[in-house]
Amino acid sequence: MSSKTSKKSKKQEGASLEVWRSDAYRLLAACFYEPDREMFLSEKLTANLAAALREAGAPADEACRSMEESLRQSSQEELLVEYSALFLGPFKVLAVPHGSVYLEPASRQLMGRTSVRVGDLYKFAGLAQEENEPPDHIALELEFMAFLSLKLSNPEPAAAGEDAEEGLPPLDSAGLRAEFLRDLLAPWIPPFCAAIREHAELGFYRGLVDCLEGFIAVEKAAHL
Amino acid sequence: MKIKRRDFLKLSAATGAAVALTQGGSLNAFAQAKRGAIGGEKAGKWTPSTCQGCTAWCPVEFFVQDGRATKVRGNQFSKANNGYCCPRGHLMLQQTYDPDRVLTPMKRTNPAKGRGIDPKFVPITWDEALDTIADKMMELRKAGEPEKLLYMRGRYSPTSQALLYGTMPKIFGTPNAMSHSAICAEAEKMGPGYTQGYFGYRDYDMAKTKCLVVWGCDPLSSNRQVPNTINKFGDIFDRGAVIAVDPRLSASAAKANEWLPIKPGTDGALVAAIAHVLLTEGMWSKEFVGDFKDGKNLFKTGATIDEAAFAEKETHGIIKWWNLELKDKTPAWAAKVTLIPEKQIVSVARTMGKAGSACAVYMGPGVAMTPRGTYASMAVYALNGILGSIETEGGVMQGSSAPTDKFPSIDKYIDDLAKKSGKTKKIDGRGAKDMPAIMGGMNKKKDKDGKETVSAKANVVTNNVANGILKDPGAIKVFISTWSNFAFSCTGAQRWEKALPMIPFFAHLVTNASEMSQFADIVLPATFAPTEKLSIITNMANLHGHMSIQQPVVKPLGQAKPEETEVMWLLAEKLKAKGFANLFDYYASLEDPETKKKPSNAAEFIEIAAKISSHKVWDGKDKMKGDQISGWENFKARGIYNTETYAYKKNWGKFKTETKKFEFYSETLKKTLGLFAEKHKTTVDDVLKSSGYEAQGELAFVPHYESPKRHGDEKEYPFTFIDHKSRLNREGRSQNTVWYHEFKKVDVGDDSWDDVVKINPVDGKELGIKTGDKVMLTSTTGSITCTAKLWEGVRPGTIAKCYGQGHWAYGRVAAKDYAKAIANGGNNNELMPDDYDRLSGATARNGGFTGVKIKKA
Repeated sequence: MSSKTSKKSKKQEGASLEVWRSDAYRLLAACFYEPDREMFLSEKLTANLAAALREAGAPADEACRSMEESLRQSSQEELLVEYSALFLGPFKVLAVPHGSVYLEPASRQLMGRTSVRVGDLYKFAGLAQEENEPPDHIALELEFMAFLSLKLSNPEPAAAGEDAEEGLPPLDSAGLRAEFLRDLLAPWIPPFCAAIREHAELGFYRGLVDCLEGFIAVEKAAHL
Repeated sequence: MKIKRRDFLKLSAATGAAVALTQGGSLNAFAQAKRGAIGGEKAGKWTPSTCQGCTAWCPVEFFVQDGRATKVRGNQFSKANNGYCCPRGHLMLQQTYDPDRVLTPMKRTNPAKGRGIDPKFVPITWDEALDTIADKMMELRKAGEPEKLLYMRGRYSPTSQALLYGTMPKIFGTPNAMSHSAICAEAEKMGPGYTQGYFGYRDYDMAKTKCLVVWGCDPLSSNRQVPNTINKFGDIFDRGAVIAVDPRLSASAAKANEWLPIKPGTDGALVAAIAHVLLTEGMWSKEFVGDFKDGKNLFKTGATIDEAAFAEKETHGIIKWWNLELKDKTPAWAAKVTLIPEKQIVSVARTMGKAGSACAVYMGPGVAMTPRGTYASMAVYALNGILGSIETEGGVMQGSSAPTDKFPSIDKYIDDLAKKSGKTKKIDGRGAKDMPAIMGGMNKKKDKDGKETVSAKANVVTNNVANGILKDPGAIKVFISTWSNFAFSCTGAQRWEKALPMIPFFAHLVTNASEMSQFADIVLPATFAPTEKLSIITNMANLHGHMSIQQPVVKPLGQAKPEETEVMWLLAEKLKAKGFANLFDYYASLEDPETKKKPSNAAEFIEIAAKISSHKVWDGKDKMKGDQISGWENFKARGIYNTETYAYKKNWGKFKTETKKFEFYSETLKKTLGLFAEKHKTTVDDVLKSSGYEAQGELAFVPHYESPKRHGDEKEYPFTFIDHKSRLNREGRSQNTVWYHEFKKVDVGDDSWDDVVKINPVDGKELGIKTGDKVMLTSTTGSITCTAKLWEGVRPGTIAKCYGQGHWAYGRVAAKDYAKAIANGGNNNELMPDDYDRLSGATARNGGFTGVKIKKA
């Protein structure tokens, strides 16, 4: 095998790893949306998630299996009830899905300084938020990580400043991903997952927490 | 949040990573856009809006940086608050961004309703929610029983309320539109109403007053003009004195020259003695009240006076009042009743008399919101009449108002069914022989031929709605309520927990789910008004009326919508689609005062409504005597219109009483009660007796002392309970913010992160209770548990506790454990039974009407 081929294949391998990472982030994000049992089952969400996590270096087959089992055994209403209790309330939200509540515990509010920073980074990376949620919702943050990882998988980066405001530095997706993970995402995963673990009754969400925690730990090791 | 496309769940291998990236196929919550810069701290902007955390409705400004509200201050143009807000204003930031806010419409999936039973709410769309509500409403119309719809409002906008409260029930055809006002302070209006013909909240010339008597309220903490009081209070000491009459050492009492820790509910007796001193010592206002014809003071203790001996000027009935009530009520007598020493009563009366017409008696709900509060309210207010401090420099004013415009008449949109069902009996029992609720006096109507008919008004009896439902469970089938929590905020709160499950369908529009939402079938996210809703707010303070804008200074969080405008528009659309178009047709008939354009969608409707309410102050058509504003955009940017300064004595000689005078002998009350008794084919005496008052005969028409009513005999329930308000209460909505708990110690005697009952150390010693002990308080209606605090700010035999805590269904800070329905502290309203000042219909919560026993928990 020539060195050229080896380099190319390594590059391809790297690109492929980034695609799997992106998939893992995206599918984890999907799990934090309102559950749609029929869609989750027919699109093989948990199997896809298991594959993506495995390829991204954070295998969680057991957790994904228990998620699948839970999906099959629960009704749409049961899933929704649990999802609402954990993430929506309307009384006490058991596991607030927004970062600022954990990152700024003294004020314990939505739309903290860190939420604004998160929103800024979305814009900086060229994303306009369409969901009317504080930007640091877990699903949005994971989707953002998916977006950055996918960008990093692309061997032909866009020309600097091509689609940006004038005078903007080129997008350093790897640096941005590391910063976002280090400062804005990873620090609140443990308390967030602990809250879900404390209150979740369905295997879907209990398994999801294992997947999320395991994957973020691997990502931290890889990028920080 | 929903997943919009199935591709989002697929592996990239299936869709193709490159395709996904370039076409945004892998995105759900985002769209690809032009990249934006990030810098350091963003430039911010102060944007005006209006706080509605208490009844001051302060014009404020929010500092907004990058779409996020970060600071609060008073509107810099406001003459009512001098550019400052009070401590509670700052809590708006934490309310706006409360992580437990309702962010999406939800419906219950567990049909069982009750405390501690999880409703198992799940998210639904606004469309589904409104469809369901409209279906339920249409069932009532189809069954010919629209009166079975009940709407109850909690906090509202004084203008756009007309589009919900004032419109929807009437056009739909139900008489059951109920305001929260009778649990607020309606009985307070009875005093100025039946003496001066002004059924409203008063203003005070605090910049000039020489003696401020705060009576049954704590204006540094609550009651209608907190920032103005904080601003002016200190200087009053330089001009004279501050006197506080309150069974509890309030923030105002702590700073006052004199604190009179009156025995709860005996205010009328103290008034009688002070009036006795003012009259016998010749300290009444000669200019306002008049004088004896021969100039000699005939007010001698015990002496009956010939009415003809006195020539009154701006008043009516001073001698009748003396003869019927005051002549024997000496300070020595009052000392025994009120527990205030005779010497202090005399000295306070002299201090007040010396300040004369520059002495303002600032009466609050503590006087009036009691089972016989109307007469105490009249009595305390009448002191202003004796002193002549009505509309004088340093005195008490009627309200000032900015010129809002009304929405067009709804008459032609009320169909025959609505006309008929709209006249059915209301669920709150107002107007019954034992519930006159004559707050507001008389209705005078002229028919086509000019013939006038007069009848007694019947005001809302908010808290009696629960009793109405319990008595007639089938009477209400659909219930809609906004910004309310009656299962917590009404005395006898437990009754609401029994009544609410009897209603088959209940939709609750709120910022935060609460005890009442526990019984809701649908919970809808309302905007947090001060930061997210467009409306026009009016109020007054510091001798100026004002109109201020309330506007979305930030984007509403989640899916929150303004309940009085957008939600009504959307509901009207639904009703129209289901065959009842009248409500929509009315809303769609509104016209922009500038462009004459009619609304074609909810956003236009919201703005047109606000423009209609406010246009007089900015459209240049009327000459404004106050601020000059150049147009709608200018008004939105400035946020406020201030009226001209109140003119002293402007209503002298034309008070809206039967005699046009200030009535110490209320001909107005006599006529109103007479009309009411006539309607019930009985006597005034019978009405009063049925309603629980002591007065009979002529005494009923003068301010007088009625002994305090008490639930629970003194042997079994030896302590008299005092409920009071916090500087940080935002009408009971702030307990889920951490700042509320962190700063709770700003309430005199209270502790941060705790809910304490304040007990005199003498009683504590006797009971063997120390500060920090957990205690259980029990009344005839219920028990609550909280922490004991030994404190000299209440007299032995009385205990005081701040209202606000004790939530068992709320967010994680307010409630200790929602799942198990364990409260943080105790709700005073579970201790206090539902009782009323029946002449006004107002709910009793003061005046020591609740007896309590204390046990270590």
